[in-house]
Amino acid sequence: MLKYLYYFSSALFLLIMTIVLIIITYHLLHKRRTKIFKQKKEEWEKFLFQYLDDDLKLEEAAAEMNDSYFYLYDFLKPYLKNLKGNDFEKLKKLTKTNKMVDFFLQKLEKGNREEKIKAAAFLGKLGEKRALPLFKEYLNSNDKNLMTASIWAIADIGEQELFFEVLKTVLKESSFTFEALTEILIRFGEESCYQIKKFLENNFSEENNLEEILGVPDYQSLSLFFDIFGYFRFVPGVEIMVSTLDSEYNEEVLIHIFKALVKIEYPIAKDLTPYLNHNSWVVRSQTARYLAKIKNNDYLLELKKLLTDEKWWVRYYAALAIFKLGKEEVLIDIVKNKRPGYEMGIYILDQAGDLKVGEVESG
Amino acid sequence: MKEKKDKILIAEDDQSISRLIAYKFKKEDYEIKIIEEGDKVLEEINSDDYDALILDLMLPVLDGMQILKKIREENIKIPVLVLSAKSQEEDILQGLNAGADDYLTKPFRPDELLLRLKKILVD
Amino acid sequence: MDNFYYILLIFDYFAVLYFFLVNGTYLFLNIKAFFSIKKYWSARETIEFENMFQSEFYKPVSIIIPAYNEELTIVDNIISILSLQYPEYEVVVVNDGSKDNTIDELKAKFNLVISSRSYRKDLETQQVREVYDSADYPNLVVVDKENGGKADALNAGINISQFPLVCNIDADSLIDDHALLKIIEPFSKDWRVVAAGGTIRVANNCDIRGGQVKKVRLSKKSIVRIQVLEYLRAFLFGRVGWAALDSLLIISGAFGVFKRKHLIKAGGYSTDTVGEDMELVLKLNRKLKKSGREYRVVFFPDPVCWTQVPEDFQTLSNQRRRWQRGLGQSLLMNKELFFNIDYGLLGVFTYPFYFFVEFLGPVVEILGYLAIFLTIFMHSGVPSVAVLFFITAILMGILLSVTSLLFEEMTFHKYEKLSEKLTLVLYAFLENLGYKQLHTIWRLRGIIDLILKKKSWGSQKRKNFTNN
Repeated sequence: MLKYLYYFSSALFLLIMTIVLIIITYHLLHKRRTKIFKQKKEEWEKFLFQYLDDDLKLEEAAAEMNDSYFYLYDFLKPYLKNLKGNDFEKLKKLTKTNKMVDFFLQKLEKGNREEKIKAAAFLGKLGEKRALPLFKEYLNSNDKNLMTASIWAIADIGEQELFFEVLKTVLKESSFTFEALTEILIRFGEESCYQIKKFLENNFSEENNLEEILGVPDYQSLSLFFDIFGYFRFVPGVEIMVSTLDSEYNEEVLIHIFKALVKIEYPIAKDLTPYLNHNSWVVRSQTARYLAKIKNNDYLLELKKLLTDEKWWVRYYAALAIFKLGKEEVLIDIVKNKRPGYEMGIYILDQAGDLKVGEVESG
Repeated sequence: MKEKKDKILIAEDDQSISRLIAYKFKKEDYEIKIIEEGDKVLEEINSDDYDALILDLMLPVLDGMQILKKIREENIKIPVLVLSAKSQEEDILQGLNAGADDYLTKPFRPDELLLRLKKILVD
Repeated sequence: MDNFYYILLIFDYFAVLYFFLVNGTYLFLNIKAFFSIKKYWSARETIEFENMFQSEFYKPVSIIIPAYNEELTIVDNIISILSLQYPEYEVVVVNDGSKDNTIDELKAKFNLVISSRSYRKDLETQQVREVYDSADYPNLVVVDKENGGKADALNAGINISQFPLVCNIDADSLIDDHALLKIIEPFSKDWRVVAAGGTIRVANNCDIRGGQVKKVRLSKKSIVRIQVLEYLRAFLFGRVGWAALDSLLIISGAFGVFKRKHLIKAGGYSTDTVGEDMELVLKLNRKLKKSGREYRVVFFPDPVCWTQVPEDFQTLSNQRRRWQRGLGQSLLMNKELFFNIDYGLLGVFTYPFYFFVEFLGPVVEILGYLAIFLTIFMHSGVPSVAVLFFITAILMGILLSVTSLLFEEMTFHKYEKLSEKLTLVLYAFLENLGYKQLHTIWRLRGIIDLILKKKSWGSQKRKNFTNN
C-alpha cells in the first residue's frame, strides 16, 4: 500500500514539474511571438505610412502586407478605429487586395469561436457586405458572444434590411439593458428612424400589433423607438409621439417621449399640465426639463408649484425651466423671502453664476 | 539663412496614431516630439519652444482637460489643437471653452488635421 | 491506548479528506476561471471601451473614497483618481474625522467651498460636519464628518453620492487608467448585474508613476512573493471561478462597483464588523435571493487595482487575523443562509463551504497536523496515512499554486522576466512548507479573537481603517 502511495506521490510531483515546464515553454513562445510581431509591425508601419501618403502603390503595399493575418489585424486595428475618409477607404482597398478580407470571411465561416468573433469585428468595421448572410445566421447562435459580435457587425455595416431582424433578436435576449439595445440600434444610423416611423404607422397608429410582431410588451418597444428618435433628433417622429401622449398611457413610454422631445427641442401643441402633475416623478421632471428646453411660458404657475416637489430632480428642472424662461425674478423673489423652494432657487442661481449665494440672501 | 522649422508637440498615448501623424508632419517639414503621459506635457512645453500642441484628451496620469486649464492659467501662449475620441457636443464645447484653439474628433482625417494645424499656426 | 490510536487514525483520514476537498475545489475553481477568462477575452473583441465616450448611454458613477489620517498622500491619490478615463463620474472623498491635517490639505489643494448640494440621509451615519465642493474640480465633493470607522464613512459617501452606480476605492489603491471603463461596462449591457469586483494585485516594488503602475516587478522580499502567489490563486482565479459559478461572496473593499439603490435597500455597510466588504456582498446576495429577482454579481480579472501589501510578519499576521475575524462576523450576521434551500446554490453549497472551509478550516488544519505528527510519532516507520496527508495537504497545494502560475502565464503574464516566474515557482513549493501552516495559525487566532470578543461585539466599532 505504502509503495503505491509513493508511486502516486512521484507521479503527482512529475505532474507539477510538467506544469512548470509548460510555464517555461509558454514564456518562451510568448517572447518569440512578441518579437516577431514587433518586427513585423516595424516593417508594416513603414509600408502603411508610405501607402497612405501615396508614396507607395496599392499593389506594392499589398504585396508587402499579405501574411500573418491575425497579427496584421492587431496591427491595423488602431488605424481602422481612428481614421476616416480617404485614409479609411485606402485601408479597405488594401485589405481587399492583400486577400485579408477573404481570409477573414473564411474564418467567419469555419474558424473556431475566437476566430469567428475576431472576423466578425473586422468585417463589420470594414462594412463588408459579403459577410451579411453569415451574420444573419449567427443571430440565432447559442453562443451569446458570437451573437453579439454579429449584431454589432450588422449594425456597423448599417444594413437597413436586417434592422428589424436584429431588433427582434435583441429584444428576445432578455438580459440586455435598455441602453445597450439603443446603442446597438442607433448604429444603423438615421435611416432607421424612417423605417421605424413607417413600421409604427403600419402596426401601431391604427391597430396596435406591436406585441404580436415583436414578442415583447408594446411599452418596451415603443420606449426603444422613441429613444432612437430622440438620439437622432428626428423631427418627423414627433407626430407619432404626440399622438401617443395620453396620460393613461404606460409611464415608461411617457418618460421616453419627453426625453426624446428634450433632445429634439420641438414645441408641441398638447396640454402638458397632466404630465406636470403626473404620479411618476420621472414624468414630472422630464416634462419640466422639456419646458426648460423649449421655453414655453404657459406653465409658470405649475412650475412654481413643482419647486416644492418632494423629488430633487423635479425641483431642479422646474427651477431651471423658470430660470430659462427668463423669469429669474420669480426665483429671486422666492429666495429673498425664504419661501418654499428657496434652496433650489439658490442652487440654480448659483449654478448659473449670476448671483453669489451670499448676495442673494442679503438681498 | 535657414528658416526655422515649426516645432510641434504631439500629446497622444496611442503610438500607432501619434507615429502616423508624426510621419505626415515631418514630410511637411515640421519638427515633431511625441509625449505619451499627461504630466510630462507641461514639463515639455515649458522646457522648449513649441509652435503648437496637438492634444489628446484621454491621456494617462493627467488628463487633457486639466492640461488645457493649466496652460491657460499659466498664460502659456501656445496654439492647441485638441484631437479626441470624446465627440459629444458638450465635450467639444467644453474643450473650446477651456482654451483649445480647435477641436477635431476621432475618427479623423489626417489631411484635415494638417490643414487645421496650419491654420492655427498662422493665427 | 489502541482506542486512542484508532480515533487518531480516523481524524487523520478526516484531515486528509478535508485537504483533498479544499485543494481540489480550488483547483477546480482555477480551471473554471481560466476558461471563463478566455471566454471573456473573446467577448472583448466586440467591445471598444472608448466608444463609451461617444455614446450617451454610459452610466455615471460616484467614486467613494473613505480617508482617515492620510494627509501625506491624499492629494496625490485624489488627483490620479480624477484622471481616470470615464465619461462622467464624481469623486466623493469622506474624511472620517481624521486627527491629522487631511481635511486641511484637501481644502488647500482643491480650493474647497461649502457645497449647496442637498441630499437625503438614506443611511444612518455619524454626524456629518460639512460638505464641500471643489471650485477647481467640479466633480469633486468632500465630506467632513465625525469619526465612525470605514463602513460608516462609506455610508456617508453613499448618502451624498448622486449617481446610480457607486464605486468604492481605498485611498491608497492604484487604479489602472481604463479600469473604470472595464468594470462598469457590464452594468451598461446587462441589467441583472448589481455588483462587480475587480482584481487586486500586488504593487510592491513595481514602478509607479502618477498613480499608475508603469512596470510590474516582483518584490525581492519573500513575504511579498508569497503574497503574490496568494493573490493570484485566491483573489484572481479563485474569485473569477466563484463568479463563474454565480457564487461570489466577496468583493474587495479596495475596488468594487455597486448599484446604489441596492446598497441603500440592504442598509449600506455594516458598522458591526471589521469585514464590512465581505459582509456587504453576503448581505446583498441574501436580500436579492430572497426578493426573487434575477441578479448577477460579476468579477473581472482585467480591471486592476494595485495595492501595497504588508512587508513584515507582524502587520501581515494582524491583517490575516482581522480578515478571519471579519469573515466570521460576516457569516454569522448572515447565518440565515446556512443550508437554507430557499437560497439555492448559495445556501446549500457556497455558504456552508465558506463556513466550514474558509472559516472553520484552520481548526481542522491545525488539529490535522497535530494528529498526523502524533500518528507518525506513535507509529514505527512511516504510516501510509501520513503519505496520504503529504499528498493532499502539501503536494496538492503545490499543484494548485503552480497551476495558478500557469494560468497567469497563459492569460495576463504581468511578470515579464523568466527569472521572476521561476522564482514564483520556487515559492509555490516553499509556500506549502511553512508559510501556509503559519498562515493557518494566524487565522486560528482570528477565530479565537472572534469568540473572545463576541461578548462585547455590539459595542466594538472600528475607529481606524487599519491599513497595511
